Amino acid sequence: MAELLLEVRELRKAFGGLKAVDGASFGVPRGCIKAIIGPNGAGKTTLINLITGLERLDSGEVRFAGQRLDKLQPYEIVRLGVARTFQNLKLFAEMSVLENVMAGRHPRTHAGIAAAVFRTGGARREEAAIEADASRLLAEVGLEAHAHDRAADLPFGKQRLLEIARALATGPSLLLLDEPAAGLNSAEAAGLGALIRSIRDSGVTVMLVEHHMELVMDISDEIFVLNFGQALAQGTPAEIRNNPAVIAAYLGDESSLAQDLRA
Amino acid sequence: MKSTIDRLPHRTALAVFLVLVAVLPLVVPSKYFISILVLAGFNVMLVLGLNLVMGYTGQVSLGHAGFYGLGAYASGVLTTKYGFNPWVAMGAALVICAIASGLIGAAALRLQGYYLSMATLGFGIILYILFGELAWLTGGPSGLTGIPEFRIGALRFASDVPYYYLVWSIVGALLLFSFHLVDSRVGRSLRSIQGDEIAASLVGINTWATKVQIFVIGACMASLAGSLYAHYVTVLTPDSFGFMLSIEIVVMVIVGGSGSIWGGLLGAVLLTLLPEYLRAMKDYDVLIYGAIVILVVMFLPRGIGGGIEHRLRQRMLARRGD
Repeated sequence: MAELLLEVRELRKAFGGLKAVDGASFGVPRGCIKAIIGPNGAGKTTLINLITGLERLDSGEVRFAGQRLDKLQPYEIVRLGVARTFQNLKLFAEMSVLENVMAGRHPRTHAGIAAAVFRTGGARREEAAIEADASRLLAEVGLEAHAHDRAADLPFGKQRLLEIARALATGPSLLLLDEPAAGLNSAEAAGLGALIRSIRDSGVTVMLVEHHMELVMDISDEIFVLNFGQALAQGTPAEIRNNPAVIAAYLGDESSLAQDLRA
Repeated sequence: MKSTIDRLPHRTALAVFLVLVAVLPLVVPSKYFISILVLAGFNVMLVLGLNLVMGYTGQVSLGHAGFYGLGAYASGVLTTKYGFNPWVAMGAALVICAIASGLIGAAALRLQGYYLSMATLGFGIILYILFGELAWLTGGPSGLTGIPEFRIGALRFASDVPYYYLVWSIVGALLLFSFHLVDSRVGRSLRSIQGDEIAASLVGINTWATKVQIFVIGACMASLAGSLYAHYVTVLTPDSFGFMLSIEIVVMVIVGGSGSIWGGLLGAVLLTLLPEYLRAMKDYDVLIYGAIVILVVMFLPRGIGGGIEHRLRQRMLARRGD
């Protein structure tokens, strides 16, 4: 197996009496698309929050390219090369679409207050490069025509794409997507699948949390099934589809996950 | 490559504006009017600083008058009690204010929303009380007198017109400083923090450090205004730096246009001039002042200047869209 870019070991996090993540361990091999699935409340979003430093874990460890992440601040984790999107979108609503992506270039650029105020040659060149990089990323996700729109004015599906472009702007080697297909129609979801593949093919490892089984089965190289904060199964899409534990756990469950698994 | 960013021609506008400022005393010979514009200049500096903190970064500070007072008293005390040259005292005041605001900001900016406002409000009130109570140093309520004026060789900045030029040159420099700062990688970080602090941290911005930096810059502008005020009026009393002034600065930012530099300038100048011209209305002046503020906030939610700037930007984008 390929080298693990992200390693999560024995991760535990409780909110009061609720064990959101209860000893989950898994790895994300470099260069693959890994999906984390599981019913609502399985602890998937908490998992992403723990990896990106928004929540502090109770025990266990998170390693990225061999380095411990679980004591770092969110901005330090981003600088190491871990980017994410949010299930409930967190765009800079009043800024333009282009500016949102330009803001994403922050961890890979340097101009500080003095450089800004004195408009040094370096700062001006850097600013032009930021703009060029951001424009290129907008084109990659198909939003170049909206560059000057206010981010809040974009339709929902395009806001999702914008958030992905902003995350890519941070120059990640690992991209965490929190339910990227939620709220998308089937055409948008198909386009998203193609985009996620092209992101992987460009050398960025992808880990996504997702309910949309068709998308997950279609694009994932590996799937990790989380149930009540614990590992239920792990394997390729074909293995997961035929895994007795997964089938047993979801049999009789009328959730979309169960339906999609049976389909 | 032509930039695709939506930039209004701020620097050209600034050049035109500064020419107007320069010729104004030649065409308006009223000394009274010029003296009011000097006071307006202090308010513009206060508003420029607070606008960076509040209008761009979204951190509402209710203690801004405290830093104005700190700058003024640092200048006043260092010149009268320790024999500092006024220019040196202004620089020393700046350092003192930077350190004080850095310490206050480092603690207070861990707080969010109302809690931050309350913490800065408390800090402003503490400073106000200290200006009154440390009478051995500040002269207390009866005032600190005999503050020397600025000089460059034989040029004394004692009368209104030279002082007007001194103050508005510094305003011009601070305007350019602000325009460059907000239209940069740093400015984008500030607006990102205002937009969504969690998202800002997840595009790699150290939000706390950035907020402290901009808080210190805002306080330093207030300190400059304070020093200039001290060497202008040459007498300081604590009442000039009370809680109400902090509120007035916030009102100037909102009425002018939170997050618009021209708007802040406009708000500061208008709300400095307005009470002077409403004075003829005797006791009704406060009522009318209040009514104007309420009307602006109700009908121009972006503020006066902010609304105009927004309109211009829309027009520019529409033209590009054609």
